[in-house]
Amino acid sequence: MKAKPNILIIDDSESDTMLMEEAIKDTSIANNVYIVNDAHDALSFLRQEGQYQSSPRPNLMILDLKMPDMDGHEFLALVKNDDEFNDIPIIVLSTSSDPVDIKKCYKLHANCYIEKPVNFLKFRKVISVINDFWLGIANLPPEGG
Amino acid sequence: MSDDAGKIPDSDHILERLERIGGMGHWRLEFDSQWLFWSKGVYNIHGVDPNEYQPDLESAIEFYLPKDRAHVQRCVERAIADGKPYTFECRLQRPDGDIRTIVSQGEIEQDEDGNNIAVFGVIQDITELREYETRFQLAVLGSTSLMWDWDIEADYIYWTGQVSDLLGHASTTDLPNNSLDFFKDLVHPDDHLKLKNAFADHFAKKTPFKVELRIRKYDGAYMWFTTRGQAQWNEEGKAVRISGSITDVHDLKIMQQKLIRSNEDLNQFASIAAHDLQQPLRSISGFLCLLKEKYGDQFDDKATKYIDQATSSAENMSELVRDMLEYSRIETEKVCYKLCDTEVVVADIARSLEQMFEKENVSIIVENLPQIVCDRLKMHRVFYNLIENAIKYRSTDDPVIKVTAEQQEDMTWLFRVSDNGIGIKKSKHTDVFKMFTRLHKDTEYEGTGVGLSICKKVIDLHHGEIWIESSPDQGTTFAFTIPQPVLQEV
Repeated sequence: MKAKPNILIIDDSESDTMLMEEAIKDTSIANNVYIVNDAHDALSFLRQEGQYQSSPRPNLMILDLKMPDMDGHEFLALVKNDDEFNDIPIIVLSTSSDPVDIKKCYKLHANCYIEKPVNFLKFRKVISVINDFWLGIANLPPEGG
Repeated sequence: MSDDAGKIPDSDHILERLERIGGMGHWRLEFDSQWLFWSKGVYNIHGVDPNEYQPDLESAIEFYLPKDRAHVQRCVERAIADGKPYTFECRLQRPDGDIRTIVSQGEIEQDEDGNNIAVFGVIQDITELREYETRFQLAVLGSTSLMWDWDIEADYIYWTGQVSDLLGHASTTDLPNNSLDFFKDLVHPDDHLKLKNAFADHFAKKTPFKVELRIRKYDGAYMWFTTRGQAQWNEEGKAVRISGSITDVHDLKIMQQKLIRSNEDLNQFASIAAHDLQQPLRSISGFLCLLKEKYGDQFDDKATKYIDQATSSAENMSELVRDMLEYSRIETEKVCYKLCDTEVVVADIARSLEQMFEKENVSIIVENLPQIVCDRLKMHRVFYNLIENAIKYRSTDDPVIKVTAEQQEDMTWLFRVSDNGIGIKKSKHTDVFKMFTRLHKDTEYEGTGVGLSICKKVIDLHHGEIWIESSPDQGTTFAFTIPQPVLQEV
C-alpha cells in the first residue's frame, strides 16, 4: 500500500490550525498532518533539525502569509530557492485578498494562492478541494532521485 | 502713383515722427547766448504748448521735482566740466500736475579750439516702463518668490526679489557669484540629478520646467523650494536664456510628506486590522459551526437559533472588514490606465452573476458599450457593484437591468446602469454614496453600505461624476461619466 501523504501546515494561528485539522480529518484522502506555528520551525522541519529530527519529508505544504518574524513571502523565497525542497508544492492559504500579496506569492513560485474563507463551511470546502486536487488528481513529484 | 512716390520724406518730418513714436525729444543749450532750444517732443513730454511757453534755463529747471533738481544740475555741470556725455534719470511735473519719469542723455559740443559751446540733449519719457517695473518688483516683493534670469551663454544669473527672506543671504549682491555652479552648490546633492534632468527635458523637449529642490539656506539648513521657468530658444533651437521663479514650499512639502506617511500608515493599519479581525471571526464562526455539528443534538431550538445568529453576525462583520479594506486600497493602489472593452467587463460580470440572475429571474440588457481608457480592475468593481445592487433592489415582477452608454460632445462617456426596481427617494440621492449608508434594514436587504462608496471613489479617481436618477417605484438609474482621454497625474 502506498504511504499516506504528509501535509505540513505552517500557520501561527492556533484556532485556524485547529479548524484546518478538523476540516482535513473529514476529507476523503487519508493523510498525515503536521503543524508548525512559525516559518523558522517549518525550515527546521524540512531540514530535520532540533526537535524535528525524525520528521518526514512533506508532500505538500499549506502556508500562511502573515506570520511574525519570518512571514510567508520570506519562507517562499527561501524554500523555492533551495534545490532540495523547491519541488514540494506550496499552497498559500491566507486571509489577505490584496492583489499585491497574491502577485508576490506567484512571483516567488507559490504553486497556488487561495484566500482563507471566513465562513467555516466554505473553509472546509476549500480544504477538501485542496486535498482532492493535490493529493487525488495532481501527480506529485516522485520521492527521492 | 502720386508724385511723392519713392521720395524720401524730409528729415524734419522724420525727426518729428521719431520723437512722437519714441516718446522722445531733443534740446540744445548754447552757453554764450544762453539760448535754449526745445523740439516739439520736449514740449510734449513737458506737457506745454510751444505758443505759450518759451523755454529758458531758469524756468526749465522748475519742471523737475524739487528733490531731483540738485541731481540734474550736478549731472549736467559735471558733464560740462569733463566734456563727457552723461545719462541720468529724473522726474518732472507737467503744469497739469502729471508726473513723468524721463531718462536724459546728452553730450557737450565744442569748437575747433576745444571750448565748450553747447549741450545737446535727448530726453525720453519712460514713465510707463518704470511703472511696469515697479509693479513687477512689488509683485515679487509681495510674493514669497524670487525671480531669476539665467543668461546661459554668459552663465550669469540675475536675481530679483527678497533673497534675504528666501535664502537668508543679506541681498542678491551678497551672493558670492552668479554662475549656475554657485546655485547648484546651494542645491542638495541628492537633487542635482533632478535639476539637471529638468533643464535637459525643458531645453530639448520644451516640457514645462518645474522642479522641487532642497536648497541650502544661509544658516546651512536645507529647505524645499519649487522652481519654475521658461527658456528662450534661438533660431538653431538652442536655449540661450531661461527665466523663472523660485518659491519657498517647505511647509507645504513637509505637510505633504506627513500626509503621505499618514496615508501609508492608515493603509497599513487597515490591512493589518482586516487580517487580524478576520482571524478571530473565522475562529468564532468555525467553532460555532463545529459546536452545532458535533453537539447539535443536545441543543434545543432556541440554542440553535442563538448559534445561527452569532454565526451570521460574525460573517457580516467579516464582509464589512473586507469592504473597508477594499475601500482603503482603492486610493493607495496605483491606478493603471489601459484600453479596456467595457462590454467584455460587463459580460464577465453577467457570467459570474449568472446564478443570481437565474434565481431571481432577472434579465439583463447590455447595449453596445465602448472601449475606454480606464483602470480595468477598478472599473470592473464599479459595474459589479452597480449590477449587484440592481439585482438586490430589483422589481418584484419582471425585473430588468439595463446597461447603456453614450458619448458626449467632449468625448466623455456617460454610462447608465438602470433597473425597474424599488427606486430611491430623492432626498437620499447623495447619502447613498457615503460610507456605511444603508437605506434598508439588514433583514430586508443584505449589505455593508460600502459598495457605492467604492464606486464613487473609483469614478473620482477617473475624474468623472456619479449620480442617481431615481424616484420610488420608478426604478433606479445610476449614471456616471468617464472623461476621455483620461487625465493622468504626472
